[in-house]
Amino acid sequence: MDLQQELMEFVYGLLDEDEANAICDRITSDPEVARAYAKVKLQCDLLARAARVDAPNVAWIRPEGIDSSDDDPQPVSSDWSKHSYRRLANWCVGLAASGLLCLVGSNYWMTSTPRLSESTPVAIASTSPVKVVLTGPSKLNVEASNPFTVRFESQAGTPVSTTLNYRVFDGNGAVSWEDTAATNELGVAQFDVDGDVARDASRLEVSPENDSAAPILRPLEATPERFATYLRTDRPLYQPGEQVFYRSVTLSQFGLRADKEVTTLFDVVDENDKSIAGAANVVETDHGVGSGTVSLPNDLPDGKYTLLARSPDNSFRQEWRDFEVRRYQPPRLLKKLELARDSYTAGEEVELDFSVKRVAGKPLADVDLDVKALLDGLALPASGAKTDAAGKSRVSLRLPESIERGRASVSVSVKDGDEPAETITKDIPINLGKLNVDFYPEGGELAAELPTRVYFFGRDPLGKPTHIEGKVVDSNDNKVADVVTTQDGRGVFSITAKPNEPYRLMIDKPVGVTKELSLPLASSEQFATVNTGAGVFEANAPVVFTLLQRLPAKPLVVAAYCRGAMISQRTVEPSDFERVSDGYARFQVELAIPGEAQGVVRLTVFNGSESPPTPIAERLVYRRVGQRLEVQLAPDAEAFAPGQSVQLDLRVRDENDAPVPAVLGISIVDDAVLNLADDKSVRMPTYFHLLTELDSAEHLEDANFYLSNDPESAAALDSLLGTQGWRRFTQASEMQFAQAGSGGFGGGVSDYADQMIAPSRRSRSLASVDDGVVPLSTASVIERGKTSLVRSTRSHRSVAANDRSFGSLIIIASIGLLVMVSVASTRRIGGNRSLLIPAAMIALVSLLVGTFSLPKSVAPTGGAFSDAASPSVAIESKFERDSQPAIAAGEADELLKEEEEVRETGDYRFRAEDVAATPAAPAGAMPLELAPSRQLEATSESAARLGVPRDEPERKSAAVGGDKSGALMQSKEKATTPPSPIAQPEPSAAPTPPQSAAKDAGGQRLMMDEPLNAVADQDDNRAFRREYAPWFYDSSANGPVTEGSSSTIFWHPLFIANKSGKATVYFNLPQRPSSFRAIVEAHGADRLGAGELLINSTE
Amino acid sequence: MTEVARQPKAHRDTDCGKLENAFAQYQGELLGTLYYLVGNIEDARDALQDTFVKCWRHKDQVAGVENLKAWIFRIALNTGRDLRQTAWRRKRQGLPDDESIVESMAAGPMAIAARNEQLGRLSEAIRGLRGEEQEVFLLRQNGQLKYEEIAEAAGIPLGTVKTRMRLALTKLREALAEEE
Repeated sequence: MDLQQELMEFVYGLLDEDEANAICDRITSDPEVARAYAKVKLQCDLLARAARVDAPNVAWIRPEGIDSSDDDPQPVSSDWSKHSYRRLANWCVGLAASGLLCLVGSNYWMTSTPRLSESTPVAIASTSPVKVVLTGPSKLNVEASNPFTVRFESQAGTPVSTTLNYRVFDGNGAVSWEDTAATNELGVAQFDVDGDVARDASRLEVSPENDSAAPILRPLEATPERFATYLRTDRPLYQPGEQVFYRSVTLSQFGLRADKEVTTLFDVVDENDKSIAGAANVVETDHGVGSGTVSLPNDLPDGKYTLLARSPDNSFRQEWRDFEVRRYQPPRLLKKLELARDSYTAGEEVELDFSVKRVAGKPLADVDLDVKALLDGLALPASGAKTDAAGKSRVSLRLPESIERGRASVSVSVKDGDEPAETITKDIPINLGKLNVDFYPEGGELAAELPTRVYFFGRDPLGKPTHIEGKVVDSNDNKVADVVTTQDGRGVFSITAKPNEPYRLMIDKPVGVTKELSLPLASSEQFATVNTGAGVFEANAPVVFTLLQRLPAKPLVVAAYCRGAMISQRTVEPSDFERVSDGYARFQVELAIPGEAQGVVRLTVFNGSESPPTPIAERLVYRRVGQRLEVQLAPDAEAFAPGQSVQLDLRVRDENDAPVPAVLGISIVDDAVLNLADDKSVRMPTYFHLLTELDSAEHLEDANFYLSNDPESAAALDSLLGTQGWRRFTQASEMQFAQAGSGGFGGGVSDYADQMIAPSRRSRSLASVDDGVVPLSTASVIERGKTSLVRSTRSHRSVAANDRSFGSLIIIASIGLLVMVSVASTRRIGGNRSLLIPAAMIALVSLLVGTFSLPKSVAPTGGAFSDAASPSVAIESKFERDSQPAIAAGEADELLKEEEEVRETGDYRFRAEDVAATPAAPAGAMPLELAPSRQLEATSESAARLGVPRDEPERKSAAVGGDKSGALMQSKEKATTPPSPIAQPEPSAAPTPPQSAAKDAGGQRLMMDEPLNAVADQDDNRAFRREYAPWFYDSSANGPVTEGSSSTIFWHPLFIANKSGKATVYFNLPQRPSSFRAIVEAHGADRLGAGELLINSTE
Repeated sequence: MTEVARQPKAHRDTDCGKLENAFAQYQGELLGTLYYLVGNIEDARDALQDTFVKCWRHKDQVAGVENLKAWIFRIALNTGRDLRQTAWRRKRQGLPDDESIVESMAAGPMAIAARNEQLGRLSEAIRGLRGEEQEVFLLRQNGQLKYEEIAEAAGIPLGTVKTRMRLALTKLREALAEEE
């Protein structure tokens, strides 16, 4: 303890007698301490003044009737009228409260009396009452099976065995699906509503086969379609004047399908969010893929730039990808310098693994290293003098015991023969005792008296993960648990917390942490929690986890969600739980979930004793991906010489080794540049299976690691998911969705509190529910003879009208009474609290009763109850169909058939040298500002030279949507108009690539594109057109790729593997020893995959 | 017959006087305590009046109370807690620089301004304490309650009280250090 703190505790009497005496002695004997004491006293005086509030003297109002002279006769007020008013007010309040009570009682009597005489009678009037509880998703996901559970029990709670009929009606009232299911011995039946049925579903009806209870009618609504977009560039590092090639893949959120065209707006901005000229682009996806290029100006300043992709109609969340622009010399050596830990502290030894090899792949063995380490501007001794046979060396240095600022770095320089030395530098993260630790009890809240795992995440003030070692102690400093991080500043410990006991984390490493790190207080209200074990489950295996709850046990409902769709649910009765001790019980849940639900799975536990069930615990787990694509890359030779042609065969197969047609994105990039930029770009499968469900996923240094085969990856993944918290899992509403655009990798979600109150609120207004993530729908309870659900539209309306009038009356009367009470109390004309408080209570309760008495919806729902609503729907549908242009009907089938033929028979190949052999044929994308006429010329010229694979986006676009075809035609006309002066590009020495090309050339179908003036002219925004596959080849030189050419030698964002899962690409290697990394990402058949290969050329 | 009625009137008058004197004497500390507990000065004034009324209703116990100040502060704490738990009141924000915090005019204008600023920041730091730390600190600072009395009033162990007080002091000391 430092002196100041000790003195302050002395002043406030916190020290023991011995300590106090000791400090007294020091104050009297040591002038330094005496000065400090005087200073502390001043501070305490200041605190005392801050703690009090001086206000003008308060006039104390003595309560009536308890005056000091209260046994004396009360003085007769001279103000007769005041007393008279008070009495009158009291009478009024009392009468109003009584009247309100009568009104509420009448309402109860009216609503509890069966009023079904004029409607169809319930068939089982003679049998005993049955309670039916239906539980299921509040909105249906059209891409997944939607699980529902029905429980039948008698009023006494005994399970009832029966057979259920359940039917789904579409918007026209016709039965779109029906089936039966038998209840088990617990009176529970489960059934799924298929996603295809869900698309047009409007109502669900569940009834016992023998009509032993009235049917449950449940309005159904499908969730709006949601998409997720993955974005990547060909590489993370560019030089000014180069081109950035980018690609987006937009897939449906749950099914990962690319069967919808989605408009995507691209842009590139600098660190000040200022757009780069010519970067804005509007693209309509094809097979889920959007793409384009951006030419970086020659005078572009070095720095970080960001590629943005967003949806104009908020179909998907804004996505971004950072890249760096700087002038650099292409390295000849591939160097790596890796730290062993996340952070270090004073006095520790820092170890770094260094490795180096030539770009052609041979390690640089037995060469001298020049290692320099700097700490706060001063040199530190460091070891690591020579590489071994594998080109590796261990660099180590010891940090001093005292560090002032903590800015440290290590540089390793290495020379390959007579070539200039190359250097790699790594910053050493040093923590000097400033850190934040966030605690995430498993399930959400720290439950008192229940064994709970607590995940934690330690970060420095800059947000960088920090290695932590320490222990958790209670208020008496007794150790409760050891704490050590496992990966990226994350870890987990177990605790059984006592209620109201403050626990805190004492840090041993890094040293010097003075900040109080308190755990959240254990909640006595949190009666249940989960333990998901390893947190990572095998593909196609059930998800098994343990529920714990304090006794007495309550019924719980467990539901699993995957990318917004409920995929499984079950109820757990109190009798299922096994008592562990007097305090709590546990139950192991095994949730069978469908095979397509893979990746991050959200488990939510609901309190089943409430209606609707409320969420009480939640946790993310991971289910390994079973349905996937394996992408194999096979070059035609094992070794290549500089300048040699390469044939790269691509094979796409599914998990059963069956060939799969797939959409591929291919990049072949200089590995030296990737190494220079320390590229750890997220691969597409990682993005869709993991990152779309995480918050702030962009901060992960190497997201691919979590899904790798590394033995430590599973534990790291568990910690990562455990530290996501539970508050972020509510998806945003449409408005929030749009506003949270900058949320990163699919992050940006609203607070969990929204979800906590959402079920009850949303279940009352289904139309306002924004998506399918509302955890559970209301549990519909029907007691025979008391049901308010009727089988006649007329009587339903009649009941609803009565409910409405009574409810409204009660609400008005309640508000009136509340006003009276308020006036009486504030104006002090009715000062009798024993009357006012009960009156206010009656008013509030009545207000609630009145609110709930209002009918939720009077709209009958199709089938036998159909009214004018259904025909109007039908008319709308017809109008939509009629509005399709003639071209859509005829040509669409033809074109699609033609495409299908190409797809089935075509063996799509690219031969880059065909293009390279033509003189100066710029390829790629045209900047947005390019004048239409010039663009047409450019496209014509380039189209004559380019060999681009099949596609018919323009015509297909016309076939799919009439509006779009019209807009496209309009766009064509605009292409011939003179360009705006603002839109004229500056002449540039660099070749200006066309935005895209379109023409038949060499047997390949090409596309003619129109210019986009989306930014300049809002009206032209509708002239969307698909960005044609801007595959890239360096055409700046005549002939094959030469020394000093671009680092990207092949790029194709939309390459199709045929039904045999095969595709082939050709390219030439540069005329120098080189190492190129081919990265192929694939999607198709609701699966994702990625593969990569290093291709070396040596002399 | 109530206890009040059994007491001689002279005694009750004495108790009433004691109570009123005590409220007048500790008004600043009581108001400060309630201000930090409920978050704004208007509610704090209401709570102070409520505290007075509650004490008044139990004024027959005053004679038997050993530490009147501690007794009043315990009642004030409970009143403040009740008020704080009312959800709608929690949403009402207090003024950041409360006019009620008045500085002596003995110093020069610059010193007064600096001191007021310093007090404002300290006030902010007290507001920033966790609820349970705030209670312990205020009962000790304003109410001059012993830690045993605070433990009894808050219904928590003595060790916890001291831990919370230490935590509160550490945080406030950090605020004081920032001042410097």
